[in-house]
Amino acid sequence: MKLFNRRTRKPDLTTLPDVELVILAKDNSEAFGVLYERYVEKIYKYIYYRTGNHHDAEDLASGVFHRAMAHIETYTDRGVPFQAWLYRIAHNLVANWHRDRGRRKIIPLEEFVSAGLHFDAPDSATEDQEERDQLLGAIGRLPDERQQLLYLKFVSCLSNAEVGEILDRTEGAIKSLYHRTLIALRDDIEMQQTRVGARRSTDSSETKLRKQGND
Amino acid sequence: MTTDHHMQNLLAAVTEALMADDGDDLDTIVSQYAVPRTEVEGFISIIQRLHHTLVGAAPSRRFVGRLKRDLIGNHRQGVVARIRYLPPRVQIAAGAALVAGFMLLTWRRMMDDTRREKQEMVTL
Repeated sequence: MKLFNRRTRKPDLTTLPDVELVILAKDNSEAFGVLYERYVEKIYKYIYYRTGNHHDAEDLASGVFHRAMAHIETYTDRGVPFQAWLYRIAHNLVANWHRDRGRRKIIPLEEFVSAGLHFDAPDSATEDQEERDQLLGAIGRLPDERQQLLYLKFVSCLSNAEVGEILDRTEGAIKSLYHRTLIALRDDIEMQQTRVGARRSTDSSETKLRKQGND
Repeated sequence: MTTDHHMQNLLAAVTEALMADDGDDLDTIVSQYAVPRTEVEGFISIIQRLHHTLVGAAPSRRFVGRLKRDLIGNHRQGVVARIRYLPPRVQIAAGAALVAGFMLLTWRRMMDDTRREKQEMVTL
């Protein structure tokens, strides 16, 4: 009998697109679990860069998914895909976190360990670290939206279109914002380098004067 | 298209190439846009630095597992949802077992009633 040979298999949820998973997730927690697995790392990385420490990143990432699960029933894709919706929740929670604690967005640089860091000679390693510190400092001085853009592009590896969905802008506007952000970074870094150069030359001339005085 | 637009498209293309670990072809990408090489170099250097500096800090497996348990571990699926994905044979067998059980209970109750009535008749 055909009926007895037929098998109704449980559908492989991992192959389904977000739109279908979101519909299923409204009354199937397993579908929400697949969405969670798909986005937990991206959301965590994003929050980590915005808070600067693992402890708060875990707390806030947890808050994002609890909130998403609580509101998934009322969520409808009105031009804001699920991924963008999650990032918006994350952004709001991070903003509240900064406001509540009155913290400035200071990122503990020592925690950023580059995966591609090589064991170079000590001098070049120090130079690399200085350059990284300089860059992170410059990012920290950017307006919030520009910082968000850089983290979404480089940490979460999102395309301009995806970033646009999160920041509620067109792809063209994101390209333009990215250009302006790079100009701001370049100018800031150049200014820092000029300052460091000037400080070093002042220090060396002071040392010379001191030496002459001692002689 | 203005130079700004060319530059914006170029920066987007360079970033995508770097993110895809395809940074060897940057010269080819730059040559496709009408932007002076000297203007681009400073930006490419910054994009490369951003790519190397802003690396991901992955969450611990423990955290990911614990949060998943918190989110969906305690949510029990309903009986209907559990049965829905069973093979038809099992579904039919389960249905037949339920019906048989119900009939057995009804039959036993009827038999008990009949036996009781008979006993009452005997005592009378």
